[in-house]
Amino acid sequence: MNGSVLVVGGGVAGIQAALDLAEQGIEVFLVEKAPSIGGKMAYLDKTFPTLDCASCILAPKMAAVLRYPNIKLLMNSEVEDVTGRAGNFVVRVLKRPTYVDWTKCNGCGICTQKCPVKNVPDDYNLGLSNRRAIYIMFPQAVPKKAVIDARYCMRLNPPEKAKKEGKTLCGVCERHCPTKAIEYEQKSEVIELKVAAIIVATGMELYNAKNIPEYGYGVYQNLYTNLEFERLVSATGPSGGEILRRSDGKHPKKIAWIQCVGSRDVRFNHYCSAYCCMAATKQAILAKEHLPEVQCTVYYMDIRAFGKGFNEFLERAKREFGVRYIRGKVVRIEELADTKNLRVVYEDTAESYLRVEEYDMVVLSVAITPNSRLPLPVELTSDGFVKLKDPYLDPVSTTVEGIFVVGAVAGAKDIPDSVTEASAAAARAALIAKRSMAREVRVLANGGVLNG
Amino acid sequence: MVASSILFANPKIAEEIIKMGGKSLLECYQCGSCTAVCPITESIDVSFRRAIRYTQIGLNEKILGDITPWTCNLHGDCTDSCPRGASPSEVLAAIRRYQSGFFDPFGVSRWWNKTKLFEKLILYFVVFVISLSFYYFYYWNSLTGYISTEFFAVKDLSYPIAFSALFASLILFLSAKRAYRAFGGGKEYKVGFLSSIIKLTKFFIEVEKDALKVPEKRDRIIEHVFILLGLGFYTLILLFYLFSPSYFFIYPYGMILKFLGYFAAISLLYGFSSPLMKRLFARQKTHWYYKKFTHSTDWMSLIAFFPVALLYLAILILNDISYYYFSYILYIVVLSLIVPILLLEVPFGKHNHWLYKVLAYYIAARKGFFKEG
Repeated sequence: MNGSVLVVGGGVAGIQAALDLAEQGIEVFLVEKAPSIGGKMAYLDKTFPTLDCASCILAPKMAAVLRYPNIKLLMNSEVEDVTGRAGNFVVRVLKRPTYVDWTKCNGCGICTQKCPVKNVPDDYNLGLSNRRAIYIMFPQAVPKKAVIDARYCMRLNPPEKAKKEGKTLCGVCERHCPTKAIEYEQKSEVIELKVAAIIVATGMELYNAKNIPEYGYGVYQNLYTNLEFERLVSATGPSGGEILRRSDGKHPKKIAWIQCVGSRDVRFNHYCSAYCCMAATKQAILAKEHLPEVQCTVYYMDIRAFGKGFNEFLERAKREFGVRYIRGKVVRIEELADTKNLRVVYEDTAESYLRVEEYDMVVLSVAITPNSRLPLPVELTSDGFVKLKDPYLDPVSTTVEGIFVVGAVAGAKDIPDSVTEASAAAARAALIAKRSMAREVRVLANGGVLNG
Repeated sequence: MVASSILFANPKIAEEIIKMGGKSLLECYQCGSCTAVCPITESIDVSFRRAIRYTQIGLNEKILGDITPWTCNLHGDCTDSCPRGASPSEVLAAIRRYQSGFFDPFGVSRWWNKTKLFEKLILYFVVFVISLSFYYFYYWNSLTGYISTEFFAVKDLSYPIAFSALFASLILFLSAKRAYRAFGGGKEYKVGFLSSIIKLTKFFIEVEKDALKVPEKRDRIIEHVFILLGLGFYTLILLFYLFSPSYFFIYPYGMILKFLGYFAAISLLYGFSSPLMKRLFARQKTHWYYKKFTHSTDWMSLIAFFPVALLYLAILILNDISYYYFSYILYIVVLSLIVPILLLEVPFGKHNHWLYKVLAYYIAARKGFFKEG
């Protein structure tokens, strides 16, 4: 029966939408590009404004997704093509091979310890640490199944010499797997789904800070993006939760956060990314909690603490943790050759004079860019976000009936807003799904034949 | 004394600044990028952001006494890095116009800065025609008598020029006095005269030397240097011709004067024609400086001087090939062109920025705004 809903994107918004729909007895397909659901929230250590542990909030929801029998997870998959209209969408989903039979894999992780390819940059830690070619995305991954990265696997992508000689190399994981789940011959497949409604929750990516030459991201060693810093303070991170400098592995004494990197700037993105002010405040507090001696400074143009409890959080950071807030846009970062410290140049607008200050570590609060290059017939606004049908009274509908949009792909927003939207969109999608189901029941009851 | 510490905000000032060419004034959200990227703030403690803020709110007293806009050397780094896509240097130029409107004691400058280009051109042309007819009626007969002589004797032609030069210097002197008072000159001096002059010279050489390395900035600096040299030599030669005994024109002094004259003419022609051509035929790759600074005074300062430079070169060439008659006529035309420059452009237009700039920099240096080391 065509009463199902497709949720594209398994971030916190997608998870919430899927759970709300499944609770109502609707069949949900949850398509996720990565080998685990969780999205960007899974990368976070703590959340603002309460400093709750991010994975402690998210993990129960992720686990709940597995428990619902009417949520069909399509991992490692991407939507290829959508046709049809509300109540009757036909979606083609490309399912990429994981090279592991997930019905057999029990997530024991033996393969991830035995794999001889050790120098693969870890996507989950944003390249700050290395993983093996076969890996489980992160310890709390849902579903907790192993995946082979075909780009680095010696068996799947052997060196040129072995390719010529036609040898088959390695096969270590296959030998060690206790359930014989490894399938090197897996091919990608296209799955066709018939759904009544689609919820787009593809979320965001961070803006590429390398596009901003004056900050020198990617060149200077002790310069991090805020998501990288989040991994650095996280217990599952590359250093096990210790804040260490990339250049010498020492604890920093002075850390600076630079706000509005790539956002609110006509050269890059016009919009405000909405999350960075509070994220930087949270990270400054986390840094203080990890290293009480550290001096934290946030360079901002305007602090936008608009949400519930946000301003109190900000005041707490100032009062309780002594985080320094300086109003001024940093225009340039220079690296000192000997110490690899970073020198930031800015105008302290309270004093109206040019200042230069040295820091051991600098964190860029990078803008959000929407993950909106989708094979969906939705309209986009000029800044790349999905266009809403009516931003006031219909804030989760796209211009196409039956396709809803939630989370950061609709506009830069934080976790609470994304979850709110997800529940809203789930209710709207359920309306369509139920109506379509009722129509089918009516047609079949009258002895009719379903068309298209 | 509470009353004296109150500053009155006047939002109409922002409108006036926008009218005077500071189109992007209200774009600014006070991030301070302009101050931080500027090569000048590395040496002087000034804040362009604050100057723009004063104008946004309209704190008249603060705006008028601010030397900050005059320290801008139009390097343009601020415009390249402004997150709002505004042009701080353009706004600063507008603030300068606003300030000079108040420095001029008769308020003509204020009106001049708000008129449109064609109104300026009409006025300029009227003054030109008046001075030309003056020359025609009073000197034509005596002029024809000189044609037979070999020397280029123009002493008698000096009176309108002398009068307008006197007028210009009077206005400039009064304006400079008012500007000096507004900038707080004479008070709280911390640095001696000589050491401040040395500091200023060093600073200018260093800043402009760095800027010369950047191709986009090079053109403007070279144009400015040529204009400065050309105008300096030209004024010297003019003064020399007008007020020195005639035996100086005999060889070899005449030769030196002639070569100086050629140098002045060519540098003036380059200095004024190069920006004018770039403005007139702005292309995709033309630097934004020539596209953004389109206030009428920017155009007028070039349009007024360009024909003078061109005709001056023509006079020198005609003299060399012994067409004295034509060179006399052209000389009269040039002199009549200089009269409106001296009456309008120099005291009220853009070119008084040479004076105010020197004044502002001097006061900044004396007050110890320059950073040590």
